[in-house]
Amino acid sequence: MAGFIIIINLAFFAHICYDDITNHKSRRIAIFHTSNFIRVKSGSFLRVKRINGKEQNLFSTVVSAAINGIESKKVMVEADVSDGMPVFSMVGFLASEVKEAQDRVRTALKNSDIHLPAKRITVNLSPADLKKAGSGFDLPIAIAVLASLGYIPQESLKGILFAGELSLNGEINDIRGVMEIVSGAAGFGCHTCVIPQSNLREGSVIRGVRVLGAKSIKQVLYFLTGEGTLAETSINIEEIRSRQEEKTGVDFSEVQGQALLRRAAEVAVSGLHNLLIIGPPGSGKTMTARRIPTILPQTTLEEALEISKLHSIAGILPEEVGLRTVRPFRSPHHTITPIALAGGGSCPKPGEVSLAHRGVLYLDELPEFEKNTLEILRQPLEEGKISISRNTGSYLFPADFMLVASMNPCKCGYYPDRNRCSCSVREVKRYLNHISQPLLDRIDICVEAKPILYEELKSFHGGENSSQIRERVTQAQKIQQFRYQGTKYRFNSDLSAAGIKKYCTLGKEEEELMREAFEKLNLTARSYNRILKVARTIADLEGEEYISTTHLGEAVCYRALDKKYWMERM
Amino acid sequence: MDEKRIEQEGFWLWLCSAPGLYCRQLQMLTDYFGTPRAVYEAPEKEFEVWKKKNVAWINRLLDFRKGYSPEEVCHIVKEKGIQFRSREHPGFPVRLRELSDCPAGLFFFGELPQGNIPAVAVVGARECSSYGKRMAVELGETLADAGVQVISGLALGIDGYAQRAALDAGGKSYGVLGCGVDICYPWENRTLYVDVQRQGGVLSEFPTGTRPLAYHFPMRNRIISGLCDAVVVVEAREKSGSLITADLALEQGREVYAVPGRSKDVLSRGCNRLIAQGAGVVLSPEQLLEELHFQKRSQKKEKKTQLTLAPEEKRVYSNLDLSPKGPEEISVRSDVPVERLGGILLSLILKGLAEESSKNHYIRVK
Repeated sequence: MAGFIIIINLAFFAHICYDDITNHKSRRIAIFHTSNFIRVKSGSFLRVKRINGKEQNLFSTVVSAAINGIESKKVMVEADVSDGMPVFSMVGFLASEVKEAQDRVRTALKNSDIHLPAKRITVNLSPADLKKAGSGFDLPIAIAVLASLGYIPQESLKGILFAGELSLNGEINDIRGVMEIVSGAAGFGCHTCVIPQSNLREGSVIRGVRVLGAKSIKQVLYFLTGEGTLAETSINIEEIRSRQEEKTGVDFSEVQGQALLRRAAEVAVSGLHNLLIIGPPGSGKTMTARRIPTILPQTTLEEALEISKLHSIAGILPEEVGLRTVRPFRSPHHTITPIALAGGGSCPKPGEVSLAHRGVLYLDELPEFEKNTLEILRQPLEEGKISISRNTGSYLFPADFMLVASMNPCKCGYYPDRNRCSCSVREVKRYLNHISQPLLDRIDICVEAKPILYEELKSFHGGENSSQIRERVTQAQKIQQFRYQGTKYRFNSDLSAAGIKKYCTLGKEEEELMREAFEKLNLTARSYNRILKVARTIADLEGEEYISTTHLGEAVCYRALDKKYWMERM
Repeated sequence: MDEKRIEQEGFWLWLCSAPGLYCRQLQMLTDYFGTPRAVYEAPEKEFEVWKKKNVAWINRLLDFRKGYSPEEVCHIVKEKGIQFRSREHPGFPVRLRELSDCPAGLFFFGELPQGNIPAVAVVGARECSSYGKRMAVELGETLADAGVQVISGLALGIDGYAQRAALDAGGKSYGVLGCGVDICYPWENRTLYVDVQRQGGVLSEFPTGTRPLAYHFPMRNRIISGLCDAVVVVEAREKSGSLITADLALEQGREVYAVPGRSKDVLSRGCNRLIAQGAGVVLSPEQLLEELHFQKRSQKKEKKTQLTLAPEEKRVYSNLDLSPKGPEEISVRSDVPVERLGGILLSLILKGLAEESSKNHYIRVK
């Protein structure tokens, strides 16, 4: 009898309204706190620990994660409800977007028909020395508060990681960096992750953890009390890959003529050499550059994960994609600041160099970039990563990209066509002086793009498509991987002076040719080394073991501009 | 007698070193006072004529007169290693003395052109094409080889190429500057500026330290044309300083020749116009020598040694000419795939048959 007598005690009144989404049937649940137990009007029972006096569940802990640089760090969200002035206080080295969470949480709960009692609620995010930024803490805070109020049994939270942003109406919005959070979850001792529904695909890519997507706080509450379920999805990586490749829509076969440029791009990609394209406006520099990612070898799963994680942290991973298998192509405008290129902010976010990781960073109109912006590129070009130091710590972002740059030969763009260009020699030099020599030293291949000729256009019967070129490139890269097994090198472009000596050996005839060329073409030691590296790549591309004179001749053709020899001298 | 001349030269040097005074003013002063010494020693009221006219240069002259004595000026100029010849000096170029606007004196490094040896001026555009460059180089070489003095303005482009080629061929060349002789302008030609002093000279009518101002150059051009027997214009736009030189040369009774070009080429329009107006046509440097009745000094061995070229090399070589071509164009015309073209071009370059005129642009050399 006692079990069915409902004693309404206004002081302990709480009222929850559920909209049952699965049944499209609205049912109303009222929870009545009594001094002894909680009952639900409709008959279903919330399995909440008996709340009576001393046994009341006033403290709770929920696992969440913060993105620190590009790593996720475990964050424990603790909530405590105690008597006192009705305050919602939050501590734990919080960024302002996390501090604002209290208003979102309170309102979202109210709009989900959960009224917070007039009690002192304290939320702590530990560890206290880690700066917490991002909007993903709304959901764990709400869950922690509900648990400490006794709406959710503490045991049901074990091993579950929560992340998500709350909307005022109780819905859960997408957040950044879900992939990294989920992949760190197993390390935090979690078996399940509850994330926003819109991030579900992205999270589900990670294996070994159960990933659930939630649309609203009510759904989560239902799930935790065993009343309902959350969405799950499975990802077919191959299907994603083919769908994305179709979608990129660009192909090398669209580049008309430009035989030299096409070839140079193929060689550059094969040895992962950085490429500089010089040419007048309208000669197809940008068009070619945009197609370079399509001839880079397909991403491996690890590479795709690396790319996706970075893009997810930067918040540019489209919802429907889940996993980015296509290599990125980033082309920042020349007004970009050093911070935007390198990455930064008080809680550093990846910059363009990191977003181009495993893909192509394209700098159009290279001389127009600020000098100090371009200096940023030195570390990534050398080491494939970039370190950023801020007061919150120093961070290491991956930034292993292929640099493709383009520029006009002079200010008006038509040098050396003297019928169109009337720039003085001095003006041309001044224009070229915008680029620093250290940057040029890291560009192995430099090629001139000329406007397409009528003869070329006429004899053009659709060039090779990207997948044909990619096949050759992949083969050439495989040869390199095999050759450099167990060394510090990966590609021909990585070769140091010692490596060149070891791997780019020349025969007698070739040596003689290079000796002559060295004198006749006024080569420097540096440009000589670069020619050898590029010749090695060309030989790999042709599948030949030894570098021949033809390979050297082609490499000489691509030799990067040494400023000294760019202009004819007196 | 000699002592007197040395003293006279000192006063000429002093007068020519007055800043801001040009040929016309110097002429006026020497006509009025008779000698430069008289200009230095005349009482100030003698200059009232010009003072009343309120001309700027007279105050500059009077300030200079107060500030520097001929001895001081002589010392300063000597210290810099600069030599000076007044127009009354027997060593002054004969050809210049004939001119109505003959400079009062010349400052120079090295030596001055010799009157008894033929001299030809090779002038043209600063921003020249590789065709112009080639022609300038060939002219400079051939003229120097025939013992002709090559005179030009030491400027970028045609001037510099012709002079450099003349020096390389072991001939003599003279550069006439539009600034003080101690200033290297343009700076890009500094090696040429130094080299030309060893095999010829650098000369200027402007006092030491004069900056290269735009209106100095037409004045400079009259000395270039005045110093030589004939002027050859290699490349010139329709409005060009080289055409001023050609006009001046005609006024001075010098022969004018122009290197013809395609009618559509902007850089050849000036030359073609000169030809239309009756200038001589330069068909080849050798033909020019014949026309001017100069003797070839060293019989240049006609290097017709037939080089053995592979068929592909031959095809590529036959498609090269003096207008720079990119690899795609050569590849299409000679039907050699771009991948192999680099090797062929390199071997042609190493054989001295081709040249990379600028990044990925190739021209024929022989």
